[in-house]
Amino acid sequence: MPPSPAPTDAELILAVLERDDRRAFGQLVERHQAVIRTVLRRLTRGDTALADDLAQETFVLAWRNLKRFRFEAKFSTWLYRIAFNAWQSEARKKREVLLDIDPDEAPPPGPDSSVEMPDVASRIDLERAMAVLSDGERAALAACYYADLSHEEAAVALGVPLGTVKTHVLRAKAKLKARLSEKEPS
Amino acid sequence: MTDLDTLLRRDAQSPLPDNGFSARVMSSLPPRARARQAWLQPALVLGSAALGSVLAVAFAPAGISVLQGFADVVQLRIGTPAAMTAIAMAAALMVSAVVLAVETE
Repeated sequence: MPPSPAPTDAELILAVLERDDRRAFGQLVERHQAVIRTVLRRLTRGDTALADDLAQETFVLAWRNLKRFRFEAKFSTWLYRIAFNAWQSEARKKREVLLDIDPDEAPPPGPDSSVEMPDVASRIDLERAMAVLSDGERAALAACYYADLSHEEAAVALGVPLGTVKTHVLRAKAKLKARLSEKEPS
Repeated sequence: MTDLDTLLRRDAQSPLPDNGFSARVMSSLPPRARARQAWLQPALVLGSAALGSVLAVAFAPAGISVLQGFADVVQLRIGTPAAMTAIAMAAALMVSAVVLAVETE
């Protein structure tokens, strides 16, 4: 007898809502924890303890508000929105998070993303390079690449105009490219 | 050599060991609020509105008829005590309908 396929996110959510099934929610946590924690680690400039606290808060909020989940969107997208909000709330406690851009600041020349980076650019190099980005740039990059949202979805999730997301992504990639290229051995 | 897009996506998809994270989350979950019966909320709102209407009629000054009140409203005589009683009842039912509509949303 072939093994039964793993339940989908929607099936697990229904199990939680209909039967108060904690084990089903546990499966959702195990399935999505890695990406949510990685996104938050990038957003918090590599502060793993804070990122895990925020990830925990994200899942607890998801548990509390699961009945508000609309099955039109992916569960992961919904989780990312909660995670971004948790990060923004935490950052606002410390200082103002500037997700918008200075209108006087001209956007950087668009980087050619096909330009190849040295293989030596490791995960740690990338983490360090991302730490120099502004809050808005990191948030836009995390939304579009780590959370795999479209620019439009990222704009909604972050609460900023679509043009701002595009500019942040361009600017962030230009900075990362410059930063990582510095590490290329001559 | 790796382009930046690939580098970012590879970083995003690289596995992160659980290290007890999921267990910590599960142990911190609060008990779920028990879902109320679906019929309870409408029953409470409509019951309250009906009770209010009955009390309004019961304690209305002698000689006031709600039906007469509605007749007065139709004839645009809204200043009479009967008309005001009818308007109050209609308003109570309207508020109930709005509350139910908002709750359903």
